[in-house]
Amino acid sequence: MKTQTSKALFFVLLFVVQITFSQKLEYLSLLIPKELKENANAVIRSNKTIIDVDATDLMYINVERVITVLNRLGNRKVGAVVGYDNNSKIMKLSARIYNAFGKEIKKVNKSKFIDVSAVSGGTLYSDSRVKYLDYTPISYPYTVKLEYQLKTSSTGFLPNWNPLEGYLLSVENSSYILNLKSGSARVKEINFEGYEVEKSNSTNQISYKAKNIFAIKNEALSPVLSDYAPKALVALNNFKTDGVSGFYTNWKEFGLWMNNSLLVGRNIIDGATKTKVLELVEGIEDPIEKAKVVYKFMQEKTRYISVQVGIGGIQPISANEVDNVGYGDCKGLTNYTKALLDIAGVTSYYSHIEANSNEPVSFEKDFASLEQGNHVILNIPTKGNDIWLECTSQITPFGFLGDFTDDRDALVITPEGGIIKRTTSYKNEQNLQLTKADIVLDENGNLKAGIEVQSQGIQYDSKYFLGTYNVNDQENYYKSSIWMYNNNMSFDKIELVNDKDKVAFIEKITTSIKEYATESSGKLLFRVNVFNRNGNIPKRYRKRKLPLKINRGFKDVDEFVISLPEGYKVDGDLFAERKIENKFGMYQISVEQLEGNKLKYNRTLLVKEGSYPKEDYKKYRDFRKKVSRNDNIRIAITNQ
Amino acid sequence: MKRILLIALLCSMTTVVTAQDFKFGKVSKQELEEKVHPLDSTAKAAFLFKKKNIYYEYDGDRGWSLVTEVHERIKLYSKEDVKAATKVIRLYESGGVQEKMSSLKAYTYNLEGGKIKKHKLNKKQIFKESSTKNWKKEIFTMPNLQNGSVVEWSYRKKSPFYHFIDDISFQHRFPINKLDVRIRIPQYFAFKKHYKGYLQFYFEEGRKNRNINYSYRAQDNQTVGAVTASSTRHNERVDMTEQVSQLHKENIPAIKLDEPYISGVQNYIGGVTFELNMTKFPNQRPKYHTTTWEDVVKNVYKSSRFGGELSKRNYFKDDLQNILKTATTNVQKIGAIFQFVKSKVKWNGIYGVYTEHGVKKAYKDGVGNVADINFILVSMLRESGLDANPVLVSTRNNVSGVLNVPTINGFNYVVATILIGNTYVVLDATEAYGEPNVLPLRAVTRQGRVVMKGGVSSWLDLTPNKLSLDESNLYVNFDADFNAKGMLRTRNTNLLALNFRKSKNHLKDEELIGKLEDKYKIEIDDYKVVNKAILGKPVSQNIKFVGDEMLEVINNKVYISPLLFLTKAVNPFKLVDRKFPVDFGVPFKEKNTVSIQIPEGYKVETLPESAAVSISDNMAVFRYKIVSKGKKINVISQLQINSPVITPEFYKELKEFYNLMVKKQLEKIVLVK
Repeated sequence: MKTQTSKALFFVLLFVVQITFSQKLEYLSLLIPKELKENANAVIRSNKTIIDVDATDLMYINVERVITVLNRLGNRKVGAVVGYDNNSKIMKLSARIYNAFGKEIKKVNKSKFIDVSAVSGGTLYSDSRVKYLDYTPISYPYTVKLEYQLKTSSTGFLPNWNPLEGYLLSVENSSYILNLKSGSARVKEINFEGYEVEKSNSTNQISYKAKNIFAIKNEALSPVLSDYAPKALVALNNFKTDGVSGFYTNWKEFGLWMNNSLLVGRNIIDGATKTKVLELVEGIEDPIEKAKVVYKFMQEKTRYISVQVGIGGIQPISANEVDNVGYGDCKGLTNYTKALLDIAGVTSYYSHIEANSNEPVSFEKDFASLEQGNHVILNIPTKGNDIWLECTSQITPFGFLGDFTDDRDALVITPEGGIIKRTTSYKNEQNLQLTKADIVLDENGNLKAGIEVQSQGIQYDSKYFLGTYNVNDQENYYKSSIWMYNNNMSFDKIELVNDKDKVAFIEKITTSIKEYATESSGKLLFRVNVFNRNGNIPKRYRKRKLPLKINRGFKDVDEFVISLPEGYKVDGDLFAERKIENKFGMYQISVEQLEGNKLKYNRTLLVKEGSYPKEDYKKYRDFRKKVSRNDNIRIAITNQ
Repeated sequence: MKRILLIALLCSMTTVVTAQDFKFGKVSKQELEEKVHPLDSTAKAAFLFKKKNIYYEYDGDRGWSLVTEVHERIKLYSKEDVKAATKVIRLYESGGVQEKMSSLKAYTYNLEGGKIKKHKLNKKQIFKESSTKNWKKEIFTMPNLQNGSVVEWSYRKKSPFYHFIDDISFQHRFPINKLDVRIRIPQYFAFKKHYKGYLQFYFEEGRKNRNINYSYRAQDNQTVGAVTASSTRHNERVDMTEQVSQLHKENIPAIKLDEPYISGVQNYIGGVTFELNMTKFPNQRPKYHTTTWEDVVKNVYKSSRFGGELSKRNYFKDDLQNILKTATTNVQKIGAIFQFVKSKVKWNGIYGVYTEHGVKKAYKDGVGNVADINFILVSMLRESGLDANPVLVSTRNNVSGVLNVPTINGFNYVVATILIGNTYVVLDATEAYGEPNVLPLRAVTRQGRVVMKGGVSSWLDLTPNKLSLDESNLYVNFDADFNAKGMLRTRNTNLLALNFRKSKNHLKDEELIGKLEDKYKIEIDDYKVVNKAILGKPVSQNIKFVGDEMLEVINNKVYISPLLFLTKAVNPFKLVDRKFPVDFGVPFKEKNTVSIQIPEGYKVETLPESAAVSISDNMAVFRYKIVSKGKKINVISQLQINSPVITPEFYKELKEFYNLMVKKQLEKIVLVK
């Protein structure tokens, strides 16, 4: 008892000492509740955003963000980055760093932030810039308080309220206030259930507050965070962006505004190209056939270069300019293709879409905002199945989308307004890979094979770029990635055919594998599945927390005929046909003896896309484990 | 007459076919028609011509400036490689003066309808970007590209920073068909050239006369000991000589870099670096920059951010007194001070031989660059009576480090050393998990220059000779259903312990377990890391696991890989031959000891044979021993890399060595009932 008292006393003393030299008791890292630290590398202590819309062309964004970083992995969550451009100015900016006891250890003012151009990966030039804090932590935990004010004349892109920014990050307090001195705004609340959200909305103020959002740990094969994280989307009805005024309350109006303010008049092409296009489509009646010819012309003439200047990054450069230089970004190239199709007399529409290979993200049908979408493609309306064109690639087949833009709601912009339409999808059996191989094994265990692989749908998508590789890179790809489980491979022939009409990719390969079969006590042992072993076993979780989501289904069908060396036969009996069928898909393998001392191996693996409760994760993992195990089955042959 | 004409015609035709015209704009049809590079069918682009002309200009008002003229003609076999037709010109600016680009001309040439068509780069298509405070960029990409296009540009860059001549690369990721480099340097500047790479290209050197109008200020009369002196501006026509260095090369192969175990790639790309040695202007005394390693170090030492910083000691007095209360022996002092500095000041990731913030500020703020930190370490060690000194080194990625020619750029990092008796202990306090004599990989190098008081210096051998150990002990039992149950103990020492701690100590056990389960396809029941933070001791993992896929049954026979999930099944070396050394970093030993309890009712039918393989000079050795004893099979497999850097001439041997090792490990144990 006594020791406890003295301990308690010591604690009190410690606190007293702290308080005397520091006022920021609230930044004491020790005080963070345990539940907020669970699974978290950083804790947002408070994130206050106050947006003052004083006029359609004057807005102040005030942010006060306090975040405690618990460990090294939390450094990237600090978020002390402020972007600006020609229409905006950083009025105030500062950061203060506090140690674990809440004592201020560093103050960084605006001039000490590092100012760089915001050009990212694939962009040639952008007129956006960022200022960021470069801080080396000296101990953990530490707390950063970031304060800034951004003044902007563009009100088209309003910050949304997105309290849970990512995985492994918890939120103690988050608040958002939008003050409207003029105009009106629309809001859409998403995934609020299950979270402590306070709101008070009136005609001139929108306000949200959330408390104690616990950190979420990402798990394999789970839905994306945005599927269940709370957020409020906010947009002004009247706005101005880069000097262009606008008004919309729904997608139809949005489309009208886009069309009339940003697109109209930019699709003019004159001179030689116009004549050329007319020449190319002369005599062709069918609009789709015309579009194919035009698309091919566009692919040959242009290339993708991203240059982000001008109106909020949303207005395409004019078709004539693309025609002059032969390059453009997604906006410029789509608008250009549309202009070419106009000449050919084919109707097409410029369309906004959210491109993302991981998981399709759709536009909110009932909430229009400029901020949705990050890519532009072209829509050709047809009765029934619309055709969609990706205009930034020189090699994509006509009408093919791939996992970057497939199966999601996009905004089609017509002169009559915007329409939400769903893009082409590629499901399960449509993503087919057919492999046939003729394999000859000799008595030293060496193997020679002729293989033909045909891929369609998303399996086509993940392969057709191979055609642009040089021979070395192709060999490397097969050796180090596709067939990395086979050592000592060499290639006699690699012939790749990209059948753009059928959207099929055909690989014809002749290969040898030295010492494929290994000798063991007078027998030759080898794995019957030579060319399509699937070893993808989902990660094991002791306690799975998130539901199972299989984003993409596929089907592989394999048929290998293996000629055994002269005088050899299978040792013992061949294994019986094996088949596993469940809601996730189907797996089947069999081996049969053919005449002429040959074996025939058949395999089918079908995985279906789908969403399942978390309890199913283990079942799915077991299924894939069985697939992997069976894909590694070996047989023994002997010449005795 | 007719005959003569015919001969003349033939001659001129031959010239058209063989000689290309590299005058700007004289792009030929042949160049445009070419479909693949004649010597490298894998090339997506090639420099048909690459020219650099560098010389000095003198201007009465602004003095010297350095001019670089660039002319490049590039063939694009495929237009997909956007970068090949995009140029980024970097311009430096500092202290109110800046490098400037001018006279840019750029065209795309296409074959359109059988005719050559030119497309000019428009001024509007040139983007100017301020990347950082000191660096500006001018960026452009060429218009109207087609497969087969030729692009060509030329420009002039004028730099007031005439002490610095940019590095010149003789090699590129594309082949270069013709390279012309010409540099003229007035007698007033003496530059040293440091060549690198495996190409072995050297300039042809010559001299030429030139005259310029030179203006200078000189003191009016010889004043000895006077405080002030007046001076007058003089203008003279000056004759001078220039050193002319030229390089004309053809058909330079592309550099290819996608190989495993590679480091400091830049060091192997052919090129040249310039270093100013001396300046001597008319009527002035020569000013020497660097000549010998001693001088290089003396110059470094003279800087207030080196020698001056090392002499400060008041800032740590109280802390040191505290440390010395308990640490009395040399070993205790070293250990305590090293640990103290590591936890007191954190590294901001910046290299350098000079302090960035200064030791005092770094000490107070708890953040510093490598010199800030290791100078604090050296000073505290010295103050406590130890013979400590800084050591200048070159990190693995330092381009100039490989040159081994006296240059300040030859060093970019500094560590600390202590002489005890006649052995040196090396320390680097930037790395939280660093131990005495274990430098982080970035600083692993062959030698360093110890800088003693007063700037006197000498070489110190830093070749890593301590084997880093990666040891695994595996015990496995199989039950009647062939389910495996076992224990795995791993141990890492030296650099491998440092790497282990650095990459794993901040992760939760749960995370580490998940990674191991994925890697080995086992399920872990119990996991413990031993000596996680106890530096100086090997870091170990104790793992209890179960697994159900560790052996195969075919026709009632049981096949087991002797090393189970520790088997190395894939040879990392796949290229037929290789241009760069294989760089493992440090010497290491990977030792796997496996003990398998054979399932009830089974006995050994065959065991693989024991084996030993090595390559020349025992640079790499593999030993494999397998015995069965009663119900147990014991396997010891040991890979030892004694020479961390293996040069290309031994590559084939190394690849074959790995092949044999992989093959050996894949041989099965066969059990029968």
